[in-house]
Amino acid sequence: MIVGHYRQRVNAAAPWKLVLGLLRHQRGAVAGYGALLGAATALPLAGALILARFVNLVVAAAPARELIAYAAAYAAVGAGSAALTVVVTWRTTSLAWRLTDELRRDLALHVLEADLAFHRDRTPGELVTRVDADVTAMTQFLSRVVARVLAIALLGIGAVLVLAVVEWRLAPPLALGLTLVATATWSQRNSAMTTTVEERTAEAGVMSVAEQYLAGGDEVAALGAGAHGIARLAHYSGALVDAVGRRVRIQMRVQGSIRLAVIMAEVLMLATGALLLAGGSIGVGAVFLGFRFVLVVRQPLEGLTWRLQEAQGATGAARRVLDLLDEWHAVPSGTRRLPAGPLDIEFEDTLLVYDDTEDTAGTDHAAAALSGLTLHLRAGRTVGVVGRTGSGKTSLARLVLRLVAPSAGRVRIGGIDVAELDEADLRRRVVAVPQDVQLFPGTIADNVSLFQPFGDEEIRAALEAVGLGRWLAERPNGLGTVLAADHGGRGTADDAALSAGQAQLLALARAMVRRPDVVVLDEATSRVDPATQAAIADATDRLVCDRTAIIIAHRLETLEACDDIAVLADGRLVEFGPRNELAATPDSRYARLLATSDATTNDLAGVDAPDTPGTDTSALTDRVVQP
Amino acid sequence: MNHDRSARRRRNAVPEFRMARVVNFRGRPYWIGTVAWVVYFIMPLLPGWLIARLFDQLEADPEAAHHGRFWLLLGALLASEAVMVVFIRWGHTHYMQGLNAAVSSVRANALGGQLASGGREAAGRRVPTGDALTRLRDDPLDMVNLLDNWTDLCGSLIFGIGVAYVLARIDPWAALVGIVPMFLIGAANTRVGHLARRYRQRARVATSATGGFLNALFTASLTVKLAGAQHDAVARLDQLNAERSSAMVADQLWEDGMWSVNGTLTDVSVGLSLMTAARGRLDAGQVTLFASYLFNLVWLPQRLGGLIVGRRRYDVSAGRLGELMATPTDRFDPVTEHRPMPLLGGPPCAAPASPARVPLHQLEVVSLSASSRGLHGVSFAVGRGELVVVSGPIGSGKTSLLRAVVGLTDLDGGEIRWNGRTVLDRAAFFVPPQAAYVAQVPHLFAESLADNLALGRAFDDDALVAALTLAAFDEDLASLPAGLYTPIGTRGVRLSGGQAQRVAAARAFVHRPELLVLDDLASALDVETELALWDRLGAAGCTILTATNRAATISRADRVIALGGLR
Repeated sequence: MIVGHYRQRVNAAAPWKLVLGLLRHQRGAVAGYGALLGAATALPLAGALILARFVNLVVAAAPARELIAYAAAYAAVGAGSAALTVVVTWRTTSLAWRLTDELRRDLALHVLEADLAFHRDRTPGELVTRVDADVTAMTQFLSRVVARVLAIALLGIGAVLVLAVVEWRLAPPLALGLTLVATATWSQRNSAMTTTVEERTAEAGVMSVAEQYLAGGDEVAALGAGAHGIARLAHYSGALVDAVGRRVRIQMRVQGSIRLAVIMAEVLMLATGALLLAGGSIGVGAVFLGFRFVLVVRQPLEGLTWRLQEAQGATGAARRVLDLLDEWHAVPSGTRRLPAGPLDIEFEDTLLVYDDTEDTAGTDHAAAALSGLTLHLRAGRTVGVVGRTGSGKTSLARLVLRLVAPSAGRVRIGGIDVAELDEADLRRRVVAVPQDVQLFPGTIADNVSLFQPFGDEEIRAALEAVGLGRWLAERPNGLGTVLAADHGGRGTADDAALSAGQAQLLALARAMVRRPDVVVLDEATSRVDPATQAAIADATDRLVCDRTAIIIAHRLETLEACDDIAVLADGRLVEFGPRNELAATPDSRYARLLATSDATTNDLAGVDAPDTPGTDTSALTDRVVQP
Repeated sequence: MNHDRSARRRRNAVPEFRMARVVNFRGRPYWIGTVAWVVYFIMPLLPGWLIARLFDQLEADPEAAHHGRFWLLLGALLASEAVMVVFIRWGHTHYMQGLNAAVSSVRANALGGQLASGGREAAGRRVPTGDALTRLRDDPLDMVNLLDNWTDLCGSLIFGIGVAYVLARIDPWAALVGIVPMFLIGAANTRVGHLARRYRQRARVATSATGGFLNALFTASLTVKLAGAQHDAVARLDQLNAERSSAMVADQLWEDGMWSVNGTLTDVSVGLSLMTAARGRLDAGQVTLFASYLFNLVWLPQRLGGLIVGRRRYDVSAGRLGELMATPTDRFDPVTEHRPMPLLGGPPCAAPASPARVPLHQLEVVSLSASSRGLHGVSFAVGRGELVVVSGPIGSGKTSLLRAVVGLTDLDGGEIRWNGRTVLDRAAFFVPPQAAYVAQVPHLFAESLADNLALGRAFDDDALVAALTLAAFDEDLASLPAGLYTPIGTRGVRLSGGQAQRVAAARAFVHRPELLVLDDLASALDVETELALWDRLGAAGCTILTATNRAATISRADRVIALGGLR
């Protein structure tokens, strides 16, 4: 984890700072690279010296034999320089990729560690842009800008030093000229910043429209609305073309001023050279050498000026990357471990108020999501939590899973305050089954294990336990079968190898294979036929058996499998008790629920009304993370 | 006629013609920029010549600095370079705008292939969104860049001719010895040029794989967190990153390496021609001419090589982007299509014309098969105003059946008849006002609620509100801060799942289609609302085909199609 290297420098966000953080982490590789660069610098300077000597010989009308020898030497140095260039390029790019791959990994980890509040306002596409496109801008910056700047600086310094030895009178004007060039370059480094950011923003706008319409392609096509999607894309493209124009205008101004500084340096060398020549203190070859040394720097510098926009792109990218790293939303982890064996769960006068109230359109729920919740769930028992949408069911589950921290009061698992628990231990022992199942591009085994090291037999057993054994047996490559993952929202249930119900079963297998002690299950509400419903109920029974389980229930059948029932209303616990007792008490809320629910539907129509405006979504994971 | 056809096909096959047709759509800035660049490439002939004159003077008269002529030359050198700086600043701005407009055009055409409802433009939507997006982002750039390669080459070529002329006048053999190796380098670049394509392809595939994985990872980030599997998932990312890095390093080594090697190899050329020229009488000015002209000449073979790489990249990109677009025919090239593009500041596009309404009397589905989707010879009929329910267990093909009817899924066999006539292009026919489809998981867009409903067509607010009311969104609408004009966020994130589904239903209702194809509204509506909806839609003469297992809807149905499924 190298985040620490740049975390301290967040305020002075510039790509150079980020680069320094990265370079420090790979000192050894960087040192070897420096030596290579030194050698690559020496050769062009040697070439210029040879050529200047050649001019002197020409002026002195030296014999052809001698001239040819120098010209041949010049060609040889050129060939050596070319060979070295290949090596330098290779080392530069591989070093740049190695360094930034680490950054990619850290950023991905950072995003994955973040909690609900972090993901609420971000689309996965946006995060992919940060972690991939922005970091790739950094890679290009390293390999094409940083490396070149370094090489040019070495050349310039080397040229002045060589001239100081060979013809010291010309060294001060060269130093002056090159300082002028360096100043011009450095002063322009951020000038296109705003326009580059604007261009990136315009580009992101184009891509965001494209992504949404690609994802909704089927519906747009079926509604004959393709022209609208294209018109939207064209609108954002227009903004992009304008932004490109503004950026290029400034980029060319930058380039022009650097170029003019180089020309001034050339003219300066020619003028001082001519004056010294007229004074008789140097020869024509020396005038040529001074002029040539400016050219030695000019040639790579011109290449660099075209890359300066990449530097500016990288500035924006580095800022965004640093901003992302700076943003840390996670309920902090503790260090205590859960006791062995079954675990009970206690809520003690728990209050939960979300500080972020803008997650649904135009409503505020400053009201507490849960208040005064005191509840003891005994180890090994299954509790069904029922209540209307917005009653606090989801919040209760989030508290147990430590996706949010209670605003007041306490939540304990196995007698230990959830806040004090070690993150890894918590995740190992307390497992969630979300309403919406996310599949990964990868094998069935990957999708069950979530890339964790479970054995094939364990995975197979888990799939069999949830009733996917036969389905697995029919797969051509068994656990190694690649699932058609539904990333990016393309494709519907019938495009993927898994139907919605099978995906639900797979989610249960994910939980099963982990052999947790506590299961928090947010039951899927829809799109399941009776047969699959029964299969899911069976699998759920097997999963919660002998474990402490919280089921956020949307169906009556599920409640029948529960030991206890907790009824929530408006963030308060209004009823809690063993299911049998509640069912037998005619005026209990649960009994009334049983009586009034529509016998022809499987839905808890009276309990779990369709989403009403202003209520939070009923999924454990927010809607943002659903495809 | 035949001759004409093959000529067109050839034109499609020549990428330059294709791209020229794209830039010509908004051609002025592009052509201004191109001319400016070509002139800019030729300009270095002047400062090179001035420097040579300067050294001639210094050699002839060491005290040249005491004469006005020397300073005049130096002033001319400064001026000629300054003019170049100003000139290209003007030209390049136009150039980039021209190229970017062309990129936008190709991008819009590719999206058009993905969004077309049937017809010649339609391409299948088989590429996953993440991958398609990467292609849409990068591939048009690589395609249009081909023109940039040509601009560079043209300028360098004219410059090269000038150089050859000047140097040959000094010493033809020395000129030949200097110029020929450069073309040998160019030829060598060409010979190994096929590698570029392979590296580029590998790099692209690896980039897509990483992007796809990251997208899935971040979509499921809370699932990963709750499983405590962050590190394990990132370990997988490391593998993908390593593969991508090695591909990218190879690709960049090819690109950057080739360019810088060519740059340094000029010195070899300069050395060789000076060796040749040293046989005769040389002066200092001529040495500087050889050094500066040959240096600038190095761009010529480089740009020849750049063009070769550019053409290969074009092929890769055109292939990848082509998968998002319909196959070009003699008469139609989806890449070069000129669409009305309401670029910024211009008037908005006119609403596209809807097809004429064909009142539905009877819809027949005749032995429809899509075996990969589990549909084997399904037949049924739907009469005007009927509510027909498709039900069956998960995986029995309910969704596939609905999608097949409206043309979103290919058929192995069978047909759909509208009033007894077979519908040939289902995707083109089953659009409003004939039919409207509501998916199980709807997709909304980062626009206002009204724009999401109208999708570019002209509806008055009353019609939009009526559709929303029908979809039981009226109460939700009242709570939105700006009513119909409330932005609903990227992909509609500011709405809850149920709200999104009801808005998607309203998006279909607003067209008052002859046939509504609804994929399970059960999770968005409660039973009473749904039953009321069927009544109201029925009263409006709407025919409904819906997939659901909800008992209440089934009991209300005129006909139930029970799909067997796998069991």
